[in-house]
Amino acid sequence: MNTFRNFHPLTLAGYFLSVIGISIFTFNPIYLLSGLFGSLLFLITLMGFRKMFAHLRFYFLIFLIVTFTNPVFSHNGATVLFFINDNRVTLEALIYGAVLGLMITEVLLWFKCFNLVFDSERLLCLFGKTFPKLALVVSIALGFVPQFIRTFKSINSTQKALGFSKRRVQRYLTSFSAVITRSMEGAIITSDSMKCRGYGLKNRTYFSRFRFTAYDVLYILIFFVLLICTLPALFLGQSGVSFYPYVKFEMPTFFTVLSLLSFTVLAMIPSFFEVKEGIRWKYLISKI
Amino acid sequence: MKKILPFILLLVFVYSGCSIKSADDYYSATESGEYTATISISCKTAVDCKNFDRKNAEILTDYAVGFDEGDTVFDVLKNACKENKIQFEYDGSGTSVYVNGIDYLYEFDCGELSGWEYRVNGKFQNVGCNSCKLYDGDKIEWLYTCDLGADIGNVYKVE
Repeated sequence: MNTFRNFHPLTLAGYFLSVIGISIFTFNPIYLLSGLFGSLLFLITLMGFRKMFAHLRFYFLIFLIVTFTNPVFSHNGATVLFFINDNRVTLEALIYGAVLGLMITEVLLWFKCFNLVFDSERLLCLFGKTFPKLALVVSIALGFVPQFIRTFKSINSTQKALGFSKRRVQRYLTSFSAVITRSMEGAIITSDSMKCRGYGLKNRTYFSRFRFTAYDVLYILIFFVLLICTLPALFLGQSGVSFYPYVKFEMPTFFTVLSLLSFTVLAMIPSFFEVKEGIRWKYLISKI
Repeated sequence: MKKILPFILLLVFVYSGCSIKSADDYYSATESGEYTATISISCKTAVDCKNFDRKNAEILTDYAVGFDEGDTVFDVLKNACKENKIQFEYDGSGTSVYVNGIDYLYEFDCGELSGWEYRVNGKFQNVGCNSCKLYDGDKIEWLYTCDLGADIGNVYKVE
């Protein structure tokens, strides 16, 4: 299947780098909303509707915290809502906080997509040859936390079932030390075993599922063109919004419209490929 | 209920430390004192600054404010801003108050050496604005600098 996540890791890395890079450096809510929409659609195709909504609660909480923290610390802005201890709490600061929260949420969501798409196989394919040690460390580190939680849960429930300790804290502590011991041993065994198999040696060849095809060149070119179309407005400051003392959008110019359109297209690309392949798959199944 | 109880207690605790007023209430309260000082706030340097869009240079000119014994430059600034409905923001408390911005003009708005400085009777003081006690008839000037004081006659010397 030619879905987005089966592109060559290099293409994927280029894509995520450009989308996250643009999102970090824009403060225009319209860009942020289109990026957020793209990442949400992609997440739906990756993990399904229901699971995504369960995740969204956490991100919404972050958004709320950032939104309501900003007016507490920043008292700039012309529209006064009320005064706390002789400091004004303003609508503009609240809006600025909301935009900041939107940006953080969006970037976190894109990183979530990145995490789901980029497994250790893709990471090793990307860096395995040039930086073998770094790739190994990163892939172990990325896999560490979920694995830790999984083993902790299984050890803890086993201890509970065997009735070793009724007290919760005590049980947690024993499970925790067991998991630590196990993961340390696991790390040593992993590195020993990789060393035995000659990982990182000069003439060792690697198996990789991914092949860099002409399509990948085409996609990278498309990403690059979209990136080039997006950047001028950002660098010229024409996509700017000023929040203080009043919220004011700059007059849209040709570059702004071009930049906004190309960023929206860029953000929609993954979900477009996923949905397209999904429909094709359903169609082929219905033919059988 | 057991889970949200700490949060409610925290909210009550934070709320008890705050005095919340509406904008009208805040601005309608007037202060008066036995002594008077005049205060001027000006940002001529910010108007001249090319990188920042600022039109009016004189925010306040020779405005008379009443104050009590032991009041500081910061108290007078606060009252003057309150009576004229001028926005201003500060950090810190006690003797370490720092004025970030007055009338939407903030530190660093005109480059990394810009910010607000004050002088009393034409002399720049080497203390924070909430440590500088005032006497009857003092003349306070708040001036905006784009060059660490050099453009308003307060050259910074490293000793």
